[in-house]
Amino acid sequence: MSSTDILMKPLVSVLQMLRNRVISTEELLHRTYTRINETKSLNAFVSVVEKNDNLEFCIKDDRSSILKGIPFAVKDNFSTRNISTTCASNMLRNYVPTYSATVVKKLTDAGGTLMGKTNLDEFAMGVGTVDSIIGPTRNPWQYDFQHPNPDDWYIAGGSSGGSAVAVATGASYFALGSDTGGSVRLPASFCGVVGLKPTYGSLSRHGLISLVNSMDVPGILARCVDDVVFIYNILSGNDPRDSTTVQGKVEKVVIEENPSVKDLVVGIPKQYHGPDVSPEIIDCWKWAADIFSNNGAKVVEVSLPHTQYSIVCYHVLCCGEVASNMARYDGLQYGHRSDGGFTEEMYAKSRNEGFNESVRGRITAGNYFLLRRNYRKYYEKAQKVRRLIQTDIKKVFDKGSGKNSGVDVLLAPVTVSTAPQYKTFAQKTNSYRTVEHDIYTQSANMAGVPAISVPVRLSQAKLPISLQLLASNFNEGTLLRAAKFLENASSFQHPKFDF
Amino acid sequence: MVPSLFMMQRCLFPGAIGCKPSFILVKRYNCSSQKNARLQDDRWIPTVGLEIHAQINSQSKLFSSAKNQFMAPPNSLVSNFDASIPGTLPVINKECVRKAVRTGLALNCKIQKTSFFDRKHYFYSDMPQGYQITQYKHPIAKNGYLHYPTADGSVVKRVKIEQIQLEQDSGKSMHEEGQVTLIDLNRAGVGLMEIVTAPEVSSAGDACAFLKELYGILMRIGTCDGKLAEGQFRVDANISIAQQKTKLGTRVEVKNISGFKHIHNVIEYEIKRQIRIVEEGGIVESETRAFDYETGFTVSMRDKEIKQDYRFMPEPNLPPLHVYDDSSVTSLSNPSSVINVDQERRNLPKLPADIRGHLIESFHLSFVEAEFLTNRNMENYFIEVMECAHNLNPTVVWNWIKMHVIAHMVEYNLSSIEECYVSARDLAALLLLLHNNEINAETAHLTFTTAIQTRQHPDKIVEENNWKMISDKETVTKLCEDAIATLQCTDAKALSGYDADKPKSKASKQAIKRVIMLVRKNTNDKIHTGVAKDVTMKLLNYKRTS
Repeated sequence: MSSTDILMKPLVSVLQMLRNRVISTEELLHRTYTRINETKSLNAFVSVVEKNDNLEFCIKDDRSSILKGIPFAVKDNFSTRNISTTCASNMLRNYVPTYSATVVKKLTDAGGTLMGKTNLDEFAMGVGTVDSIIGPTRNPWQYDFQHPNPDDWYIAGGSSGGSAVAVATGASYFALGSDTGGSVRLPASFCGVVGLKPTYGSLSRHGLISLVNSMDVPGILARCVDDVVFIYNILSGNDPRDSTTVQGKVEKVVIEENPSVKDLVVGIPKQYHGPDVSPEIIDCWKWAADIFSNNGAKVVEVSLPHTQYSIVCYHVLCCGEVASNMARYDGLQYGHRSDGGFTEEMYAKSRNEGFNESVRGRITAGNYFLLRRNYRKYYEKAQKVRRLIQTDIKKVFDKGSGKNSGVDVLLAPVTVSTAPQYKTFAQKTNSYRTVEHDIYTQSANMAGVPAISVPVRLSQAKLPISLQLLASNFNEGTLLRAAKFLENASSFQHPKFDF
Repeated sequence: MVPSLFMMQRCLFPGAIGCKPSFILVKRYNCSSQKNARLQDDRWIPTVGLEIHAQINSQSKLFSSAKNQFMAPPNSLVSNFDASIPGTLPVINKECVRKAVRTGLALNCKIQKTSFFDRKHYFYSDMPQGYQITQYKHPIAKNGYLHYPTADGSVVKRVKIEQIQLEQDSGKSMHEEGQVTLIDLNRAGVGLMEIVTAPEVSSAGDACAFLKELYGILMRIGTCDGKLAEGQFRVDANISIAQQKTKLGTRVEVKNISGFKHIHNVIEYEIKRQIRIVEEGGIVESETRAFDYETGFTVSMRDKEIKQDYRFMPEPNLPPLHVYDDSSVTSLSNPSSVINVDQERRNLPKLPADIRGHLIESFHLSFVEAEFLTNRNMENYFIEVMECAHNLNPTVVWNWIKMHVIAHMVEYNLSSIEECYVSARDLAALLLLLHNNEINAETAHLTFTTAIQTRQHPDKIVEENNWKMISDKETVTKLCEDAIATLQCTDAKALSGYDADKPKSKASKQAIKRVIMLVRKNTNDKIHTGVAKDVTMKLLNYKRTS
């Protein structure tokens, strides 16, 4: 690897180089393909777009476009026209969409080059990127590229683990993930990249294969906040194909090089001080609070009293929507289809073969929660709890309601620990892992508010520790400003991996 | 759009092997013992509630941009969303909302300013999502009612409309010979209005009268095309019997009936079947039955024997559906982009009941005559004819429309009276000629046919063809006198049989005929025979008595 690795440079400076013809798009693509090859053992990609297809595309491109052929990757649950979209599931192993998701189309229309589709937990159900038909994705941190040990490596986090690894290793300048309960922020934190979960409705879900419609949101992974801002500005806005997107115009986010936080009130949610959080993370959290405070921000402790119910509430709502969303996979129009038998038999067999145990489990649980006799007890109650959690967060951000409020951003951990080792992680069930790792990220999805994971420092084991910032709905401007400040303050270094 | 090839390969599949028709016969009630059953019927009070699925005649489907059209090649009107392609999302069609609002207003419902969509889950191969998007808890219109006249118009009854909900239609499964099921998704996702009545109808006749009135309203306000053979107006009937009015019996649901005659038969049949069961000491089972069009029986639907749990949940991909009124619309930046209920109310046309009332009151038509015109959107044509020629007898005009105008429309395959080749003004002119005895009925018919062919004004046709009759009394009298005189001279016997006391006798008629024949000959067939007949009779009477 050359000492100045162009693939690890910030997007904005590479665009400058392309503009000044310091490097050509073709050269950039060749290098990226080489990088994808070098990092193949990490299993970040489910499929890679043919090199010739992309070269043809970038030669046609006239460099006047916004993204000038910049390589990017997309989680394999976003529909891509003529490119297989598997959701890492046997069910969609051979499924090729006839259309592209709005966010993907916006990126290709802007001149981005889609390198490939990244790995995830089947249908984005998981926190590790380990439950996939192509096997788990490995975290590049502390990974021995020369002598890979089949068991001794760290997980990438999930479910957008493939996207996080592609960005962390320079196999893409940025990547799309989807965040339903933390699926962008968690792998971003484990892999030491920035992961933005925008406000629900600010990015179109059209073409994103649904997990939980009321919480899903396309997320952006990149190596620095500026790059996230750049892509966010391309992607945000109303989409007539998604009725839940924002009406009217979305303000473009502009962030200064060294933003001030003097005017900000930073909230520290006291309920996030869980006993399971590793001391290293608590320590990092405290450091960050001090940094904000030392730079003129007002740091206050706030209360989100319903946080403890968030996990179980999320579980019920998620399973209910999953059961419903997965009902379409019956093997008739598309997807895996078993032979023979009566119609119902064929459905059952196709679904049994098509979905992994974790997906089937959620479907069963969801259908149980939705039964007429259970609906009030579970689903309706969970909706009520969700409203309480929303209200908690809304109150905290509300400027006009006195004490314990008026916060601009919340500062919190992303998760309880740094990336766990695969061998320990694999011993736990999918649902237990979700409970453990999504605990601090879910609330943002329940409330719809934007949140971002920013890498801050390394742990003793030399693994990235990241922190999370949350802001009120459609307040990406403030959120990204605070994130940029934190990034500047922490001077986290992207490593030179020894490919 | 999904390329048709994709759908043909993947959807028009020879699969679902072994999928049998979902109907099995359980027990047939023999209709031949009708007499017996009628004797017992009086002791039972039937109660019927109706659910009408009226297809909205919008250009595109309820949540997708695919066209809504009948008789297109299979799977040619299927968007990605309709085929449940992963990642697609519903987008509400405003036109469907507008039409549901209009329907709600016409049925005196309270329009809900905010309504919601729900998912109703069940696996069925022609419902690709695995759920139907419907409005379960918070429909767009609630608490309405409809006054409807019974079949002969003698009594007006009232039925409560519980609610109107917007929902998706399903696709169609075709169970072919050889145990293959083919699926056509052209209909999948087309907008339906499900109109639910309270269980307040007490006979098959009333149910049909109500449905016909409802049907007429939907046609009139233009929210449903109502082509029965195409399944655009389908009815589910909930039928039960009880001995007291206050108590409802176990209800049986008969699904998916099209056509008023069929609906009548189904309800009649089902009431009798239930009475028979109870009279024989049995218990009516709560179940869903289907109507067998071939045998005229209702049969239990095997699929639904086990009570379905639809696992309703809110549709998360659709925000609440808002409609506005005059006061709330002003606060919007773009009021034309939303549905204003008050505006829709102002735009509602006159409804059939009002039109019938007007025809009966102003023109003294009978209920049946008024209904005939109203159902065919012909009241304005009729009224225009009457306005052009006040002297005309409304019943004569009505008869002409019924006999000649309709026949012409059928012959030329015209779907609306506006397309008729003879305008109301022209028909009025024609009927005036007839009324004034300037032409006779035969010539009138000939003139009408000529008008259709040449598109000329009746006056001109009659003029050019020299069809006008001599009907002026003085001239006719003169002509008849001349003829009688001639006959008396040449063939005295010809008139001798006339008997003034018996003007209708064979001999009298013969005498009159001889006179008329001569007048016709003398006038080159231009005499108005009706007038001539009267005059001749008077002249002959006079001659005898004098």
